[in-house]
Amino acid sequence: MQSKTFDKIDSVADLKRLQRAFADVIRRPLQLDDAMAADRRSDAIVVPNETLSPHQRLELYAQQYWWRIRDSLYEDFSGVRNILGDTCFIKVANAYLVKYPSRSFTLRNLGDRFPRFLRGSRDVPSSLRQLAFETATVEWDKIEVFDAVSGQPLTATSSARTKIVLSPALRLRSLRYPAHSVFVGQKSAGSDHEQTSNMLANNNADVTVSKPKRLKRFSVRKRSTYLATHRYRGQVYFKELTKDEFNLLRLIEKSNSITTALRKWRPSKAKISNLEVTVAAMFQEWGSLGWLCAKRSS
Amino acid sequence: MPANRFNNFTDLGVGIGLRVPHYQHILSQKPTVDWFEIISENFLVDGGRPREVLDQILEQYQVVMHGVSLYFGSPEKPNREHLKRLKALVKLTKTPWIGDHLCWGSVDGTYTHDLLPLPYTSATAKAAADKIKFIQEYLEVPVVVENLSSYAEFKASTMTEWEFLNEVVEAADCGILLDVNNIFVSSQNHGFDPYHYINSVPHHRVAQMHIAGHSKFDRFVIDTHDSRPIDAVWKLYAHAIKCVGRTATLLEWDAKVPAFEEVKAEADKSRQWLDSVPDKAS
Repeated sequence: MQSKTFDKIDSVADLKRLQRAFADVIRRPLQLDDAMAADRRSDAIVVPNETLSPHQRLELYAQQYWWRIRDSLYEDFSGVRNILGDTCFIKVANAYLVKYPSRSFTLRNLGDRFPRFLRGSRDVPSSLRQLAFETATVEWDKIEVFDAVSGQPLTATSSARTKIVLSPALRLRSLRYPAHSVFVGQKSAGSDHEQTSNMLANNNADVTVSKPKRLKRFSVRKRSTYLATHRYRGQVYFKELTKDEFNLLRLIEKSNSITTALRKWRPSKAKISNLEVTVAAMFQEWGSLGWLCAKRSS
Repeated sequence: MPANRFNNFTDLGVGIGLRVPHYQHILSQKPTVDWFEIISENFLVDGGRPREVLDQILEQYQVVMHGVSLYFGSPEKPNREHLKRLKALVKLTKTPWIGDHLCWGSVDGTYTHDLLPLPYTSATAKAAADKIKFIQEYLEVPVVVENLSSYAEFKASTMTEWEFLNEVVEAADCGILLDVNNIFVSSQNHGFDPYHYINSVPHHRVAQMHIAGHSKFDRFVIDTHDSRPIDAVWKLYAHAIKCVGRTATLLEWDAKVPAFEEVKAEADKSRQWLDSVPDKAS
């Protein structure tokens, strides 16, 4: 029978058991006023010192854990926070972090399942669920685009047979809302996830807990939107596309060939006069933005 | 000791952490800096701004890698993808050594993104040493192990932290990144003599030192890296330099980061002690 004490660490198995218990204790959701939930294992794992009980010593780590990962989600999904409001966002974020603890060595990846989680979350009002999902999707796109590998540029020596791919630093979305509009006017996004060694946010119950600034609530009206999230000269930008532009880019993405894409493309001729000139202008713009790249040879 | 096998026989001087708020200043003003320490995890990405900045920094400066997620004290095997990316970064930066902490932070594939303390036992020391040896062999660059600041002590511990550190580095045959501020913070939280700690580590294995600020609360001290080191920490550092000899030193300032010149001026304070010791430990 497995021992319930943690007095002896004589093997790797003992060490793992202790670490599992420690992690389990500190990862339980914080209670009101960010207090750690009481856990009998605290006394079994940690010794007191002159000023702190075992519970209080572990509480420092529990608060640190929750404040760090919550702050990470707050930063990465500030648009969603804007839409849902702080109270609702905190509830959803906590539920997400319980269900999906980090499985990556970098906090950058913490929110990779958050958009889908929002879509299925009963804590999100049904009237806001689609918008929240789309906003989170765009915010995740921002993160991916920011540090994606650069595409191989097309050059003067690229032949007509060169396979074309879209830049890895480009994401295309067909949305029911202009979900990016919550970010317009803000500083362009970048990953603020600069990890540091031993850095801590405020983590003391005697000190005011650091909470993200309350954002002005933002409402977004439904409007069919074709969105490109892309990186240009190190910064992330949004660009709304027409349906025809979006469809053509998607075809290039699927076929890796401009010729094939143009053959399959069905533009709305009623809206495009002088189609050849228009298409030429599209490609010139996309080329200058770095969206069209040569496929790298494996 | 300067120029030993644990720092790849380098004598780098005074370093500063490479931080986002300083990027623009560094790239435009090109200040004179002996070396920069980078947090490896911030650059284990495929491209974009972080890599662009790093490429420019590498053109002008010596860079040393410092990690926060190798988790030498987590018995699980290191993540292969993580190690591959680290090795690629080692080759890119030509770092003379790579540092990380004597801690754990992941269990059963989940991560806490924190540097958690270990129980000080021989079994723990052996597990950590085995992992360090594996990683050192894979990365093909000296690994140095940093002592942690901690806020909890384990019932299971059978030795002191400095005895534990000794056992790990001897078994792994690796270097030490002696964090003087961490020793001070832990000494306040656990009630030991920080000078005794420094006297007790194997000085010939010290490859690098860290110095930093912390925050004192009513009942504990937290390693916040958000201010300049206090006088007591500088005094401890001076003692460490006297024991160990002239050693590459880095100032960590990670939160409430002031202007670059202010950070550099604080880091340069260490020169008064670095320049006053002979090359060999007294």
